[in-house]
Amino acid sequence: MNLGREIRTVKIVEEPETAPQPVEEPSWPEPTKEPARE
Amino acid sequence: MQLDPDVWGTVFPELRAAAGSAQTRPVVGFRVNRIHFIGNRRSLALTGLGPRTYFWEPGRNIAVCCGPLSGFGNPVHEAPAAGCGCGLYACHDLGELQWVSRVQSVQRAARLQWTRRFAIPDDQFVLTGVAGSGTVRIHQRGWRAQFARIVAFSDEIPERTSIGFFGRTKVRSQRVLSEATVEALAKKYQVPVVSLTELPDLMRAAGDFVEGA
Repeated sequence: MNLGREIRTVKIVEEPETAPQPVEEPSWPEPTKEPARE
Repeated sequence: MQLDPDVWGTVFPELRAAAGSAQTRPVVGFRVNRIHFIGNRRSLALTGLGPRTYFWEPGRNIAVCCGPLSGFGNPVHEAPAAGCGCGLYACHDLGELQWVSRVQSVQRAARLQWTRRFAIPDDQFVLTGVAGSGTVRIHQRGWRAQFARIVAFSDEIPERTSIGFFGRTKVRSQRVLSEATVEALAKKYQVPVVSLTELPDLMRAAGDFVEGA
């Protein structure tokens, strides 16, 4: 394929896709607060 | 002393940033790929048309110069380099690709007449819309890119027909792909396969055509 004479050069930096970030689940269940004993 | 960004850009990346203003929208262009069927047409692979060519993969493809290797076995430069033919190619407009339909017509005629005597490769061409990024060298009729991805296919190829004694020409589309091939392309590359008239709009969604080349 003959593209002809080169005219100019451009630099194209594609923006990264803005995919939703996964929400980190805590590996251990949070401790439940027991009702305070009097 | 001034350093050439094309020579020293891999060592001093800031030279490249200063050499040209960076943009974020890819450039788009047309190209024709050759379809290679694998295993009773259940799968396929796409290449370019020349002897030194790439296998086009889904997603981002990276250009590598196929020229002489350096002493360490690596390419002598990053593609696309100035003064070399390396890079991932595309054309600015469809007018550059109309010769493909002529090749197909000749192949069809030859197949009808000579299949029993000569082996003719049973390959097909597909019109492909691609988006280029990274270092992109803009030429008069197309561009060469460092990265390129397929954004859409067309199941048609433009064909120029002459009308009347004075040969007034008219461009029309000619359907060239079977339903099975369309399905296989869409499955592998995960991009739409559309008519010739729909292809430019899909490409504009992925990037910008080169203006004023």
